[in-house]
Amino acid sequence: MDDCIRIPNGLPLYLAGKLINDFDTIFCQAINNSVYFIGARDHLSIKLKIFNNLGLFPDQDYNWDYAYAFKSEDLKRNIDWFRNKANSNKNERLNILPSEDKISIYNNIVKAELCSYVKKRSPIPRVPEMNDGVSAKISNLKDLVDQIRAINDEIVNLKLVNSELIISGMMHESPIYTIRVAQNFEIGEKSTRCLKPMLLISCQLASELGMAELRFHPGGAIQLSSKGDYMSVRCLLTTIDIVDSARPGNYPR
Amino acid sequence: MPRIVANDQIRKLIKSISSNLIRAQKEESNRTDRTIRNNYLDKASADSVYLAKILLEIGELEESSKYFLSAAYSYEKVGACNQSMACYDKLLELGVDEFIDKAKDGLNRLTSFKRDEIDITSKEGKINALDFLIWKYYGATTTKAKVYFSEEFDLEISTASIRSYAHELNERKRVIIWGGPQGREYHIYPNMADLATRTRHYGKSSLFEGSIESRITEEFNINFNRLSYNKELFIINKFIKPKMIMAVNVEGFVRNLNKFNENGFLIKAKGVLRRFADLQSSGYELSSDVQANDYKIHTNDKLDVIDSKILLDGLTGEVIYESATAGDN
Repeated sequence: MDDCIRIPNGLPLYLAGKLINDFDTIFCQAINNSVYFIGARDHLSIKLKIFNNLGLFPDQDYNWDYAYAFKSEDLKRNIDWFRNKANSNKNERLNILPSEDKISIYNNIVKAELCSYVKKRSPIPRVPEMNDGVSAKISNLKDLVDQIRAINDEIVNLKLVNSELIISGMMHESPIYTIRVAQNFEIGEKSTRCLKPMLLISCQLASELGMAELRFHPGGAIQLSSKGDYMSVRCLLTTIDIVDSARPGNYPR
Repeated sequence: MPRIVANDQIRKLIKSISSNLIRAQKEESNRTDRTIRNNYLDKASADSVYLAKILLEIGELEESSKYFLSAAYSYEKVGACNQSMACYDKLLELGVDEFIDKAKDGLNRLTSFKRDEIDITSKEGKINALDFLIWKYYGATTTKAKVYFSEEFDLEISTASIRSYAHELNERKRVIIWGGPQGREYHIYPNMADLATRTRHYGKSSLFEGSIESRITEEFNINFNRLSYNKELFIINKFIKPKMIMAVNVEGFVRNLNKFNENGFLIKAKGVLRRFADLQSSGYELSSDVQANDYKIHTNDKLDVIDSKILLDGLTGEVIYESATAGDN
């Protein structure tokens, strides 16, 4: 049997499909025995990792080292079936097989081949990992998603105060929402600003995997990460200047 | 010395400098129109600076200083104050004893220079006046330059004349142009790429033209204390000596992936000139396992950085990326 990633369903592709609306280009990397889908913008980087379900398959190193860049419309066309959550959740084992010039994705229903549009090996934007800063666990991410959605401003102010995450709009008077964090590893107050659509997509992705870790860095960057049995997601948001975001064309595209 | 003369590029530059200086000398008698003489002097000066930089790279400090001084005098003679000051600054930075006093004297003369000393009745005077305005305001469109001429020199001048003078200055490597032709606005910027040193202009806006040599993003670590923007970093060279680092917002990079993936792609980057150390204050720190010497120029300084806001295809002039904050500088 080919060296490939075998996972119980297509949920990771449902998540990859969520990147399509926010990124023109979706990068992809196959490194060692994992496949990554990556989106990068000026204030947001997202890295979705897919790996073999260790409960079902042994952990083998395939020594992959491939890099691709896909136009989001091409990705959309190829993984369209998985963009329906019911389909992606179906108990239909999915295989992901990377090779030099393409990555094949198939189950009993879908057979897709994703080809890079970059002539040579695609360069991949960096998604630096934040390991320090203040960390808090958030269990009710669905609430957080709803509350971010309800904010009317483009910019969202996030404040972590002890066991609470306080979110509010910046420009207009809007309600202040409070989320109880399951665990905050350091007492203190941290705050930052980010663009609402960027925070929303990050929280939506993380919420699909259950509990998430939110890291606040004193410099203003935040990282939201969440891990499941065969996939993980990590979103890095940098703080936004009010002047920066007030200009037309910053977001959405 | 034989090592220097054996170098083909150096030999050609020396020949070009000499012939332009001789031609300029021959034009000395024409006192009514200095344009031709100054054209030769500007060319000789630009070549002298380039040669001085090459000599510096191979460790010929004194020879290099001689050419910087020669360029400084010629630039001063034609009224190219910024270029001349940069040469004197560089001489002070290099610190070769016999040139220090000359450099100090030169700087004293130039810092006391007043715009009233520009003779705007002649064509050459108008060219120098435009040069003065472009460097004072760190760039202008033809329309803006017309307004500046009126405000600063009480002189009404057509945009066609401004375009013509801008071309002349561009030929002489004192400014760099983007835009035009056929009625489109010309954007005229000070040419900082060919200065002897850019130390006086950090934090200012300009346009740089070069070709992409390599992507170096991976050679830097991220310091989250300072990170506020996702950037990609490249080395650009070709017309620029020493090379420069170009910082590009990640969206500019992603939208032009094929272009950035092609070494040698010609690019024009409009943005703010920064010191290498400013990368650190934006959160990008050179990895400890990377040879810092790769980024070092002959002195203790490291490569300059252009923090780009607008990117243009170097061949077609087409805007390939414009940052949301492009108008800030």
